[in-house]
Amino acid sequence: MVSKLVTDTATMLEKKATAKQTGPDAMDYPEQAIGEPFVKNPKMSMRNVDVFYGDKQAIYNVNVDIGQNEVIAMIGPSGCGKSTFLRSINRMNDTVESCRVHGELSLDGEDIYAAKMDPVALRARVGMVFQKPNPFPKSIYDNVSYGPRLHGLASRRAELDEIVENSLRRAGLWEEVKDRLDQPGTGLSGGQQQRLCIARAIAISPEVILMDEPCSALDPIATAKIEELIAELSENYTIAIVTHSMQQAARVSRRTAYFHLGHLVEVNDTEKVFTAPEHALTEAYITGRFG
Amino acid sequence: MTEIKRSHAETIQRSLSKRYRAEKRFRAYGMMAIALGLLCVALLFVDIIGKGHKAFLETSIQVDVTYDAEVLGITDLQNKQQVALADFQGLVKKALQKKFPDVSKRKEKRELFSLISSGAGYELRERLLRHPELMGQTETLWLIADDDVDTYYKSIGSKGGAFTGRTSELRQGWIDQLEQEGAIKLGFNTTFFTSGDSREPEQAGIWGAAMGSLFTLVVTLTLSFPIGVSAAVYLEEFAPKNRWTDLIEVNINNLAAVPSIIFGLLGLAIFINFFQVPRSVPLVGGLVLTLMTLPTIIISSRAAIKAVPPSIREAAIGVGASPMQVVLHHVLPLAMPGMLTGAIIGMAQALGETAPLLMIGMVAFIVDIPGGFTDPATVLPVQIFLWADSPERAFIEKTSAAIMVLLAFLIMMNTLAVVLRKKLERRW
Amino acid sequence: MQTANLVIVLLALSAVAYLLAHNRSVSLSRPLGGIRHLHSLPFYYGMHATIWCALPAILLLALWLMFDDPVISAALLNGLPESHQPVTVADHNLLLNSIENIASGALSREGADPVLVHAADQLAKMRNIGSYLATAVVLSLGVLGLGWGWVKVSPQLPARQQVEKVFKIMLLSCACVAIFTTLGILLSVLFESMRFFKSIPVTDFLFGTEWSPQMAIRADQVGSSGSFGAIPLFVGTLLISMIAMLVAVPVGLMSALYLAEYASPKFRGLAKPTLEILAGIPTVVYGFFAALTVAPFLRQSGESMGLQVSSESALAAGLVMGVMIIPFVSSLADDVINAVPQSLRDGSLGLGATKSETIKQVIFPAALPGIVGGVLLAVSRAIGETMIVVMAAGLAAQLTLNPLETVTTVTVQIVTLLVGDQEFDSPKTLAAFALGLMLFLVTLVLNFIALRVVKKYREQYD
Repeated sequence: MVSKLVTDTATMLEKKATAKQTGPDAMDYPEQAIGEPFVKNPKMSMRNVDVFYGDKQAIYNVNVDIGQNEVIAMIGPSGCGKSTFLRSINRMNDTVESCRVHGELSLDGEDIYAAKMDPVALRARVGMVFQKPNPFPKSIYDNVSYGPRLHGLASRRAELDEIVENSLRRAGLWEEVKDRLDQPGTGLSGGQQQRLCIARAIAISPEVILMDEPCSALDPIATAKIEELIAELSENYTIAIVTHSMQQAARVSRRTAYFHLGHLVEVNDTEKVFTAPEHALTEAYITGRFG
Repeated sequence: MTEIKRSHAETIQRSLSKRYRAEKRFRAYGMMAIALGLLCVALLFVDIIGKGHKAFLETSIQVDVTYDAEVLGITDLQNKQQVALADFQGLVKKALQKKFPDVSKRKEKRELFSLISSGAGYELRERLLRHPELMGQTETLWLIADDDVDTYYKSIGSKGGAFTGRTSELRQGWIDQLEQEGAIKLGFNTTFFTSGDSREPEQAGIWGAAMGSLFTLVVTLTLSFPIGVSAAVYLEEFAPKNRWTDLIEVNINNLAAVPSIIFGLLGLAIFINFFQVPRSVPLVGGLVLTLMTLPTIIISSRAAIKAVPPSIREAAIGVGASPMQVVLHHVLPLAMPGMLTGAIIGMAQALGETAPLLMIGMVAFIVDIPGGFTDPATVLPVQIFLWADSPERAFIEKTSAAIMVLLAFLIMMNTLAVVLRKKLERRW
Repeated sequence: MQTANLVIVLLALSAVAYLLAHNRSVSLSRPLGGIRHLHSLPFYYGMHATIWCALPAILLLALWLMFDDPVISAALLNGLPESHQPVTVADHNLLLNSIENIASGALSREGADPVLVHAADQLAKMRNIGSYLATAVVLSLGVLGLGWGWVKVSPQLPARQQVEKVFKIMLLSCACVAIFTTLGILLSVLFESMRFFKSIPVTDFLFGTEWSPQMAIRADQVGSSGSFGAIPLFVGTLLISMIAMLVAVPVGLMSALYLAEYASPKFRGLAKPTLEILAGIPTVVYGFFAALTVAPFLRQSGESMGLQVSSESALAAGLVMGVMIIPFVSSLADDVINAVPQSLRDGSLGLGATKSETIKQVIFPAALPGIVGGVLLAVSRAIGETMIVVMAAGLAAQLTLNPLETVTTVTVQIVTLLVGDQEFDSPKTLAAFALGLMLFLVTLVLNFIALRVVKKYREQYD
């Protein structure tokens, strides 16, 4: 009896493994994401999004909303397309030659990919924090003031100083760096660098902040600080965060979206996703069968 | 907070048009830079081809030559002394006189005789020696025209009008007459490809310089390739990491950027003055160019060796090969395409080099085709330099043509390198 | 025996050595039960004997060839009577040359000094003996080596290790050629420069403002005192290099930026190799282009604007040199720009910067050290460039900064001073080596700094 169970489990796992190897089997994925992908008064809404790299499709028909001032986490096994999807939201994918995005993506009801939508203005409204901290090889002050100067947000030096100070304060970095604003940003520790990048992003007061695994290159203490920061920022900003860590998603987000090999499988309140996942794939991921 | 965001969005929107103009301007500068670069390439080629394409044709004049023993002063064709002193140019003069019988004044005669190159006499001598039975016979021959005639004849009908600077009206008249008789023509210029240098443009060719280049490159390749590869193997595979090897490395990189003329000074001081090797010979040229191309070959060979994945070395060591066997059996064969590519590029560099060879006396005026590594010789780029310096107008066209030949060789070598790299490139 | 023949005989002897030792090792192994009982493979025993046979003999031959001429000529001169002993170095060379010419038959024996004819006979005799001696010594050394290699073959001989050791030493000596080249350059220019500075003080050379390297042949000649103030040359070199950099740096940099950041892969794949054609064109071709196309063009367009442009103006040489350096700057800049991590571009674009803003404010400053290094390398190239200036710039050493006038450069002067048959000891030819020393030192320092900067820069982003 026991031995039969063991073999059954083994075959099941084998099947799963082969399914994963042979690529997405359409039968595995729901037509529409399970749970509650849509919200009232969304800040951003995405409909029928397909993303291609050359001939390869990376994202299959994704439909999801991001609400006002909410933190939405995107989780899933590596290579599932979460980052690709995130980069489509502020048109960072424009810089990749072979990338094409189909579907309707909108910010406050404006079509992001419309001809009259300007990617530069869009990216000022939808900021981004990257996986690896990427401060410019300039001073801390210049790093933070880069965006405001670019967009002409401050007319006087004092205003600029104020923006820099406020941004650094909100990123929780002010006390640590206020005496060495003229030193290069690359001289900071990894966690400080990432907070500097967050300060740089919020210096232009974006409406949405996209975070692409912001803690993956950091140690646990620095990660905790960034997570704290995300919680504070969520009062004023809409945040979409891609993360590799389920614990992190559980800690910082209100809603969680589960991606699997380019498909959006399930979206729901974070608590619900982690305690009572509806789809088998979500459950398998949450319980650690693959990842 | 929302207020701020809204006002920001507006500010940004307003500044956009200005920023996009700056963007466009910057892009335009980039385009202009590239366009300028490409224009230079085009201009260079158009200029040189435009100046030189006519050098591949030569003008010749048809005359009836009588091998008159009396004019030649030869009684016995076997007598070398007699043949050497014989006035073959006299035959040409006679033939021209026959063609234009009414020219009688001495000055006019001199002009008439210079319609045909002074090299024609040598041609007749060669012909007679090969066919002794022609003695006393008359035959109709095409003989090369003088360079002034050549320049004039080629420029007839060109945009700027015919170049009459060195061709008097009298001569123009004769040429017109020849033209009407069909006794003057443009044909493929074989002289250019088969003879050595000459003071007379119509007799000058690049074969001597090409052979000099060949001998020089053979010396360069046989020395620099083995030495370069050995040095690269040592530095990549055996050298301990210490100050000594660091010094060698810095040294090689610096040598690669030392001006080529300095290598000429080295060659002059060491090979010629110290070791007393004769001047102007391909051997010394090759030695100097070896030292010059060595850094290039070492650097590219090292890159090729570095590209061989360590797993292959480990596999070989794992079955008990000695480090030397690993190198000889595995690393070298795998790195060979990259090394060969580097060697070809180094040779192309050596083929186009001029300055150091000036220092070691390869600028001498050499008529004979060199037959070995210790015969005085010149090389193609130096020949170009020498001709570019010559005052005769006809040499401009020869220079451009020689440049075309040199560029053709260089393009061939570089294409070979690219093809080799593409063909043998391995993806690990 | 002639050297080439001697070498061929030696090679044949080494082949014999290889075969003998190879076969001996195989036959020795047979009673032991096969070659796996040998210390090394038979190949290595063969190579071991080959090395013993060939290497010492070839080294000896090389030494012999290096020193036989000086030894013979010294002996020859010692044999000459007092009256014929040469006084100066020039006399010495002349004397040896005439003896040589008589010996080879280029100079007629009749009418020549009987002492010299006798010396020529001596020379031929000594050469003959020398050649026989060399053949005998070298060949016997080869045979000895062969015998030694053959005797040494035994199953215990670590042939592979020994052969590999020799190989390794040979590889090392190849790597040292680079060091010896630098040393050779330094010593040769330094040595000759010292001789130059003995007759012309260093300060006169470095700070003098007049350059006319004509030495009086006779003491009573006027107007050719010879002054060797190199300032006009340095200024001329700098002027032309500066014009070249003014062309090459903006154009090279902008095209590198455009190709790396804007161009489609297709356009890049086409434009990049085309631009690189410029790098493969020999400098003599540029010189021709500068002298026969650009210079006359500048002269004519200058005339039409009422400007007096010299037909050997610094401008023509500088412009063409700039064109030559464009691909050099652009490929170095390309390397450097590509080394800037993509994450910095993403960071800037993600804040809503346009591409040109990203390039100007993030990529360019980040790449600046590398670009500066590249530009320094380009400057050193411009300073050392020879053919373009020899063909398109003038000989007149004028102290001017006007690009429309004729200036001359260090490299032009080196070439003019050394081309042609000059005796080797006049200050005129030695001056070329002093100029060469300056050129070598300046470019060495530039290259050294530039390579350092570029290397540091690369490490920063590795």
